[in-house]
Parts: sequence; C-alpha cells; structure tokens
Amino acid sequence: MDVDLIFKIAAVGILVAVLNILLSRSGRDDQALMTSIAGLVVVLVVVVREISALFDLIRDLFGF
Amino acid sequence: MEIVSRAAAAAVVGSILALLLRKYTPELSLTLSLVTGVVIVWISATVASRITDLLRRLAENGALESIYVSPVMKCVGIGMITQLASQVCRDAQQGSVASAVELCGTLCALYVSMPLIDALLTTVEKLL
Repeated sequence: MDVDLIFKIAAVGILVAVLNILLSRSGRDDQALMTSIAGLVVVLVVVVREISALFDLIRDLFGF
Repeated sequence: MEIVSRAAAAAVVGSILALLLRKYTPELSLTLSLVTGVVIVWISATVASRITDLLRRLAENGALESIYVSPVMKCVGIGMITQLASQVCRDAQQGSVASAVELCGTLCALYVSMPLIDALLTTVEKLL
C-alpha cells in the first residue's frame, strides 16, 4: 500500500473523464455512460482489495 | 515526524486530485477520497502497531490486565473503521447510511465493552 495508489486511481479518473467528454460531445452518450461504468468497476476492483487489506490490518492490530 | 509529513502530503495531493475529478466523474472522485483515507490510515498503522506492541507487553507482564486492555483496543479499532466508512457515506451525501454504520459501530463497541461493565458490577457486588 503506497501513495502510488492515489495516482493510479486519479489517472483512471482523468482518462475516464476525457473519454466521457469526447464521447458525449460526439453524440454517443450511451458509450460515455458505459465508459464511466467500466472505469468505476475497474477502480472498485482495485480499491475493494486494498480496503479489505486495511480492515484485516486494523483487526490484527487492535484485536487482542 | 516523517510519517506525519508523508500522511499530510498524501492528504493534500489526494484532495486536490479529488477536487479535479469532482466535476467530471463524481463517483471516481469519491473513490479517490476513500483511497486517500485508506492510504493515510495505512501509513499511520506503523505507529499504531508500536503502541499496541507496548500495551501487549504491559498486559503480558501483568502491569495491565489483558481483560481490561482488550476491550479498549477493540473499541479503538471499531471506531476507526466506523469513522472511515461513515465519512465516505457522508461525502456521498448518504447521511442515513452513515448513521446506520455509526449505530452499528456504537452497538458493537458497547458489546465489546460488556466485560468491563461486568467487572465493575462484580467489584461493586463484592464491596456491598
């Protein structure tokens, strides 16, 4: 777990935002929605693993 | 000292990036702020582990009774997890979910601290 994770999520977010704007400007709103949903799923897959690791760590630390 | 500076840097960078994403992809902005919180808690866990090691050693040596220390530490852990989750829910403007998580955390903390209340009651009964 490192600060790199923040930059990784932010990179995915910026990419999704740019794709979203491009697709919705060219009139393909359905694909824009799909792009943002796909980005969210990718990010969540990464994040859920890290959150589970953090909660395990807290349980190990504070559970006597 | 360097742990605080790392946490502060991560917090500032994460907040600015979340602010950048808020206008275009609000859900990813929320995820980013959640990840920032997780990273900061992870950084501070190295300090917390030292503290819990000390307390554990005190409990093993008999300076503190482990039956009294364990509920306190468990309450701290429950509080950390509850706070993290409820603040994220509140950021997503889901106040009702946040209060539900807090309610669950409160009940669990009360349940965990039941041995303490029990010990207090036994002491009072012995005195009377």
